[in-house]
Amino acid sequence: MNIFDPHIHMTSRTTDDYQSMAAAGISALIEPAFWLGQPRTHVATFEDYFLSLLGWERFRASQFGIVHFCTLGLNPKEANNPQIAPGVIDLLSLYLGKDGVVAVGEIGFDDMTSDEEKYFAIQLDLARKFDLPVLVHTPHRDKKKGTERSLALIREQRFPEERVLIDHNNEETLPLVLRTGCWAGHSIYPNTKMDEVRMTALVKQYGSERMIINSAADWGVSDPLKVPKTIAAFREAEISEAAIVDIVWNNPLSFFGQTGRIDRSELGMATSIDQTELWEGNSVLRGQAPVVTR
Amino acid sequence: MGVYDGTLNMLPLDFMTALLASRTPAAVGWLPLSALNDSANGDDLERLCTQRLADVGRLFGKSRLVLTAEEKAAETCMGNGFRLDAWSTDELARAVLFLHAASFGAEAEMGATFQAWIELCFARGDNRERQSVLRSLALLPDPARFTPVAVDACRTNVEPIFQAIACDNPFPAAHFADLNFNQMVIKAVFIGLPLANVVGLHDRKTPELRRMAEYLASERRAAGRPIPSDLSLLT
Repeated sequence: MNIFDPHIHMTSRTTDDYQSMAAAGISALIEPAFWLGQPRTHVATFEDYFLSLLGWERFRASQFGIVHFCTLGLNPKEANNPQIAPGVIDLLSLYLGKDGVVAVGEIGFDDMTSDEEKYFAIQLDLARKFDLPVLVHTPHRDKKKGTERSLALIREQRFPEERVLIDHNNEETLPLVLRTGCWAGHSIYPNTKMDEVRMTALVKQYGSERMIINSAADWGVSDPLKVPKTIAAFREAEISEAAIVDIVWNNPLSFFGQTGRIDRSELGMATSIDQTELWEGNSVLRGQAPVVTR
Repeated sequence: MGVYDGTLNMLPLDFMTALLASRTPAAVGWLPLSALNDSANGDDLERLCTQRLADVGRLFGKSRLVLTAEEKAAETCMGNGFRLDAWSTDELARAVLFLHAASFGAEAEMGATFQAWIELCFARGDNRERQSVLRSLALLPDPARFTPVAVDACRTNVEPIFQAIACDNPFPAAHFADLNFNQMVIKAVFIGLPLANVVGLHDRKTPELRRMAEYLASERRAAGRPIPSDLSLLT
């Protein structure tokens, strides 16, 4: 079975993670640009981050047979830093057109400040200009209010709802999202955001339409195998295979591919691995024998 | 400067300096900061102070301060909300350095302004240097100008840094706008810090903060997760 994890921060993960993800059936992923655990102090470090998402990390994923896409954006936390926010917005228009960039994101609210709202709206405009969907982060604190404000802003800006994925939903925000035309993402996390059992209950109640799950694994306590683990929970609860395939493959492909930025012919088959390849002279190998499959 | 003499009406800097000297006599030679006086060149002074901040942990150690009853009584000279036994020795030493820099008129001598220097100490600081800046803010001249630093610090994921601004610190209640204060309080609940240590919380309770607490409880109920007991302090 092919699995798509449409939200995972591989920059913070190891090659062991790539190996076990590939072994569990994950053949494609999306790495959204977000913050790195502590605030950046220069615009230029954002540029290097964007370049690493488009370059080294994509290459690293390919060395384990995984197709790597990314979303680029100014995250809500760092939208509050006036030293960097305008410069990052300038950078985005140089990078959003690149191959493999499948959405603008993560954008949205964190503290729900006026600066966050301003850069949320600016980036909706950028998405329109670059014909891209948007990935919207919902806040950890005051999530329901943050979700309501996100949906209201999208409506006010007349941004097409079918091009919006509202992420990190829970029991209280999911019905709000499904009432609109937006898609609903769920981050399956150890202990906090959403877990396998709760997710199963949500699918039983709301079905699989416009539903997406991800691991959102990053530098914190998180698990890059949460999508396959949730599939196991779905099967145990006798959710249909068709619904499962929709949630973990067809839906993310339909959403992120809707403006033609994903070439389906590159997906869905065992991607060939050639670990003898180099990226700017660098290999993922540290003296090991290269794996080559064709 | 001298040793702490038990006078209740000391200035904060004198009290803190005496307290520091009583804990780490070996480092007392560092205290007069004579280099601060001698320095003529603004840029050098700024660099020197910044370098001193980095030396502090090794010179003074990082153990938690434990105050005697007499010292607790004298602590009131710092104003409401300070509880130095939430601080560690290196944090106290950096606070003394910041206050010296301010009181020596370093503001005029520094290449950058004192405000810009403090902001840089935070931006370039390691975790403990950042904590020290945050604990000191309310003691600095014209503290309101440091509000953006303090608000931004609340976005950290490094818990001791967040704790340094959110707990046992009078700065947020005195200077934060409601939005930022409320977010700080809810984040404290999220990561399990005791709300009893949020200074001035009682006077900053608003209907909006109550609503946020109720929403959080509702979200936890819907998820079948435990409701933090401190939430009841907000409702």
